[in-house]
Amino acid sequence: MDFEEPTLCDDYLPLDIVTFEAQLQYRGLGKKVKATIPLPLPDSSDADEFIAHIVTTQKIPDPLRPELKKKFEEFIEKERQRLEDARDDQLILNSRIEDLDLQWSRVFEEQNEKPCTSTASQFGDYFLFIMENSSAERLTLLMEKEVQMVDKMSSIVRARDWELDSLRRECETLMESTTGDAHPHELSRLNEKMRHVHNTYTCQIEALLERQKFSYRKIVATMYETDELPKELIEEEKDSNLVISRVFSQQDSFAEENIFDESFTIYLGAQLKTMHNVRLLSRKTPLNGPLGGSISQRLQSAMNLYRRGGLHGTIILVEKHPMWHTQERTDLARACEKSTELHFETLGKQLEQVQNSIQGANQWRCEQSLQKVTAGQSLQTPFDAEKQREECSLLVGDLYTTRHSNLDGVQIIFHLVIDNALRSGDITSRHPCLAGIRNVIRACSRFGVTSISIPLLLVEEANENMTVQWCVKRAELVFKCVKGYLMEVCGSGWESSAPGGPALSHSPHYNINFVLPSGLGASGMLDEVEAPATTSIEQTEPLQDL
Amino acid sequence: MKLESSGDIVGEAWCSPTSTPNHNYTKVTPPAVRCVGRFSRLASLIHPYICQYIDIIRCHNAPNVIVLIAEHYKITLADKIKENCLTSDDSLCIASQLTSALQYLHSKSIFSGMIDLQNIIIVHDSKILTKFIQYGLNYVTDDGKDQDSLIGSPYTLSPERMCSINTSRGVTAKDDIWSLGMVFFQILIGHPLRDLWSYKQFLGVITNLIKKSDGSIVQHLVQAVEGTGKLKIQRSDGLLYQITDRCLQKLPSKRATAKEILSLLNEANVKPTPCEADLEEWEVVKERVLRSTPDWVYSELPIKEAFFLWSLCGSRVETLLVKHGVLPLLHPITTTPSVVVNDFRQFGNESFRKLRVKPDVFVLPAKNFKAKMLAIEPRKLLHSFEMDGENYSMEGEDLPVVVKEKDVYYQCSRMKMVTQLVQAFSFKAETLRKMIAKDVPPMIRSAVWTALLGVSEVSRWPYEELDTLSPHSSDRQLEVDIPRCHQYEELMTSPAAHSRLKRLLKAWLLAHPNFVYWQGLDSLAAPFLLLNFENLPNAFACLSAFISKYLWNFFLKDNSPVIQEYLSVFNHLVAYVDADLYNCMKEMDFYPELFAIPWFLTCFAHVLPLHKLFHVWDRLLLGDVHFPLCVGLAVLHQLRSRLIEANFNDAILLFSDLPDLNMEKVIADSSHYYSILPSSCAFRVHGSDNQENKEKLHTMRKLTVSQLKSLDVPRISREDLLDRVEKQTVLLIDVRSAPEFNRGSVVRSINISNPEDGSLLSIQNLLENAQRNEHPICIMDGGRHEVADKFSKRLLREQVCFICVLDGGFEGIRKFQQLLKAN
Repeated sequence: MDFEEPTLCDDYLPLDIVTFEAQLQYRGLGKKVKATIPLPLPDSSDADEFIAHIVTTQKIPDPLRPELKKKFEEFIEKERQRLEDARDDQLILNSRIEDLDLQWSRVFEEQNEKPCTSTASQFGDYFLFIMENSSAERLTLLMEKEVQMVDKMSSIVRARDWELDSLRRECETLMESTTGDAHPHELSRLNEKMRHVHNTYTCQIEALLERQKFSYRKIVATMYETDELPKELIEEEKDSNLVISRVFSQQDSFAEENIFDESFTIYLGAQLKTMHNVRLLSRKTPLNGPLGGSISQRLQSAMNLYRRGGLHGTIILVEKHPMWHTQERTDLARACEKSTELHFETLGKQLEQVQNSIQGANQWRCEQSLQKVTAGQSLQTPFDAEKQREECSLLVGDLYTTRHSNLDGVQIIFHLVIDNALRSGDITSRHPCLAGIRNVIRACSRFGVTSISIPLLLVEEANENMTVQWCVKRAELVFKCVKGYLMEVCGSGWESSAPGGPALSHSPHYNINFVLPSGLGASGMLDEVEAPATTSIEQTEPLQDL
Repeated sequence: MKLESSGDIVGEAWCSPTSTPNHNYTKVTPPAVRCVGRFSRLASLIHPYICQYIDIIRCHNAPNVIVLIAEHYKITLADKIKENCLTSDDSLCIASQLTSALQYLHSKSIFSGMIDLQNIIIVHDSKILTKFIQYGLNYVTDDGKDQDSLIGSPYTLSPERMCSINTSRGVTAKDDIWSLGMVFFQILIGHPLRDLWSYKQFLGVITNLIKKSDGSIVQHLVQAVEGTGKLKIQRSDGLLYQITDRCLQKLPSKRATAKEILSLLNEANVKPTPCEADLEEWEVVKERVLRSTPDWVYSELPIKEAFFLWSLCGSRVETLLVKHGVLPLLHPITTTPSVVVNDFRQFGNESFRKLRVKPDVFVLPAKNFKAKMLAIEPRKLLHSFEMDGENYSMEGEDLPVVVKEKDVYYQCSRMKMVTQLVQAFSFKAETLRKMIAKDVPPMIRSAVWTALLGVSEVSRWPYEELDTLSPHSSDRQLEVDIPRCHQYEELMTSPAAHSRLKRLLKAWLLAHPNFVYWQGLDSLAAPFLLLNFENLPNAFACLSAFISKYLWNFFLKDNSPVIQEYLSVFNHLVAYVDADLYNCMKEMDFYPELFAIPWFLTCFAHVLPLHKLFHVWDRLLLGDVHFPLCVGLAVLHQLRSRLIEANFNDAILLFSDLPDLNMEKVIADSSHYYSILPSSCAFRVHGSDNQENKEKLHTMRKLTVSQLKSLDVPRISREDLLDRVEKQTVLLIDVRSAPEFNRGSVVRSINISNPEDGSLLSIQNLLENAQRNEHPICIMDGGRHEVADKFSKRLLREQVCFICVLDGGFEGIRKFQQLLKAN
């Protein structure tokens, strides 16, 4: 018998493949048996199965079966022992035993190490605790404190923007009023001043940020320990109410009515279904802007911040350089700047971390492709690691994430790297961008994000290439893929029918918001997209072969 | 008394390595799920000197953490040695117990890797009874590959394990022997090594010894111990010393196996103390019973049932662990990676993603559980069917099944009673059937089903002889279908479940060469696999028995005659119980072919989630071969209002996406249909291979599928009719001409002599009465059926339910004089 023919587990590697030979005898009946078998036997099989195989393929008469069983079992036990002994004898004899004790000490040291509690996760514990246990009044006070901090920060940012703006205007008028090279001296003076103002404000902002973060942490720690807010905070509280109302009465520039909004429920799964809400809406930008000043809104966001489930995520489409946000001062960068990020690192710092991780990722990719090339599995040219490492940039379909506690309606942002081809060209389900969305859905399931916004057309702004057919086709593709990805994360072992197994309350549930660019709404194209879109998500078979 | 507390747990944490890229785009199974799949093997191990594993729990809030529930006791062997009260006989006894346990584990290919004084516990303080704990970690994590932390103890590492520090070499039998040797050594010197050296010091000592010795290290180790100056050792040349010497050989090939050690002990006539059960003489039992305290209620429970009841008491292991700080929870938002590329490869923020849980034992609190157990009146647990009669009813047995399954009191007494009946099945079959018509306790469902399906030892035998290793023509299809079969269920997603399901299906196919694999067979096998995960021969026997009873010939290569007949009969039954719905469906050309094939081909296993399917099958197994048809009717009934309003497309959608059904109602309805349906109405030519059944119903004509399709209502056999005439539970309408009727007719039958266009007013009342009582309205003509068929269609159009046609007509019953009257 040949060991190659049966299908075995992927990750099973036998120690050796040995030949089993035996002479079976029962009264007058005799038979010789010979078989090659892998040792140790794979976990998916057992001796009985091999015996049955030998009996059937070598036509062993029934009376000889018991003897075969006995001999075979003895054989595999002995042979396994022999193989292991031989291997391990060699191992000992060939090893340098010198510093094994030190190496092992290190292993056990790591093992016994106390789980280190970092300050970040400790802060999370504290915060979660007070959210669950403090009284409503105290939490309101805390939120009001937050609002004050935000207020201070945004007034500085506003002052800076105003001053820089006026300087810039001054520059412009100067440029216009003269004929080019008349006032180089004056121009450079203005530039110098602008730089100066910018730097001063940056320092101020950073200092304020540190101060606010520090005092916020202190407040949370005090509340955790004593269930009281620090005294000085309450003192401060008295004359602050006025300010709050003033700042947030101004209409936020980001806030915008959803032009179009339709939601429905879908059920996924073959036997046990999971329920999800799908919302189709049209919005100008994927972000709502900074978190507003309403206490209830803040509380709601704070309540869910450190929990599993209840987190909101959104996909935004980005260029391949993470620093793009800060360099181009994107909507996100401006929204983040407007108020203090009290829980996490600032956007800039998070993006720096991303930049560091990209190196690791590219390195890994390089090794992988090299391995493939050497293994002859891939005919592609090896991944150009050097170039990639220098550039520190991602590929289309990769994603990076940032965390936010100061944005409205979103805590985790998935930045999906896209290219220009997406804007007009046709794509298939194999496009790396969709693999990126798959990763987003998987990340949602792993990190407890239950609401996710996805740009339905994988385009943020409407353009003239987008015909109705194009939109419908793209929308259908994205729907299908997302449905398939959702089924993948939902259909994997969250229920147990064993007696006393986990209750059904663990059933996964997602809110998926598909966002259409708002330009589409104006041209009246929306309704045309909507009808096929709804039917497609309700009826289409999800793509299985992704 | 088996336990000190209901079950003590071993908390183990695995942090998943990020999933590896997979070229086939198949799902990568998380390590925790792989562990869940392997666990059942551990739970099936039973030996007097190992603690039993009970359950595995995958944490919901920390998906990579796994908790193993196992039997546990307080005192470890280390404590015992410190007390310094072990005699040399005791020591040999312990050695014998441990070796036999190890030999048992090795024979099952379980290698511990964790043997140490800390992991051996003493069950009885007075008697010497030791047990291994934590022996299964290495197996369940596949040699530690699925675990983050190391499996092993610094004091008992074998030389070859030490040399293989950075390799993925698995634990071997000889590693365990070395560890056992170290345990024996500590028993010998009467002092735990832990107290002499810190683990770092000890590692230094042992490395040195391995370096300088060639054979046994015992001599040197003794010297080293004495060298510390803390301990004086009396040299002994006793048996235990010899054994230790055989165990602590530097080279694995020189070390004894567990078997060899056992035979050494046997030669010296050392016996492990007889285990608890053997000890109890009659007198002892009597005394114990007389002295027994009320806690016998829980101490006598099998440990798995005890844990089940414990979980019904409302505690959840995961919540407890979080509450006691054993399981630190990460805040998901702080754990997100900075960058995700390729196939979910995560980079950045690694340190936050790493959940550090120290593998540790946590004793489950059992106060609440004990209190509840004591609150049960003992008489409820001591029911005797001989003395107290068989009509035993329990409090709350009419509550919904889901409520009963969560009721700790109900389950406790119920499990005891049903177990009793299952064990006495050959004598108490009827009582058992009556008893479980209410519900089946989930813990013993496997045994109940096995009994109901009439599976015996003989029907399990063929399994062992089937060559499931050779390639089979269905292999490719199985590879595709199995990873999609009931994947919401945790255990079904594990590789262990996949390989077992494949083996089970192949075995069934090999045992039934005339049948082929039809998609859906996988779903059909899944419930039996889950209930008999460690007993595939039984799963095989149950599956075979189930298919030959309920799905005979459904898996023929050309199964369309069978299925077409089944669906036609189903269609007739729809007309029988709900004429209105039947007419509606007929009007929009919506036939059972469009939706019901997966229902019946898999007995609903492909359309219902397993936890619901279990309840349906609990009832189904009590019913006859046509019970699945009744379930189909009940499902239709529940969708009735939506179906009647639907158009064709809506209806297709409704069934392709079967909404959540109220199973309690489906089961009640199907039982009801089952009870009112004359069994011959569901007669099928391909009904079963059972000759007896055919004999019983042989008077039915065997119609072809096209003949069946031309009919609208079911046929009834003359036996059924006569039976009902006698019981007066039928309305018999005779549509022969009046002269014929007058010449001879069945008692209490009504004559409609002009069925084509005559007024129905005369029988209006009778029809309404029969429908109200759900009695069949049987139409009979001379024997050519044309008139009867026409009239049945007419009544059906009038929305009259419960119509059937007498098969064979008057000719068929002419000879049954006793029910005929001649005018």
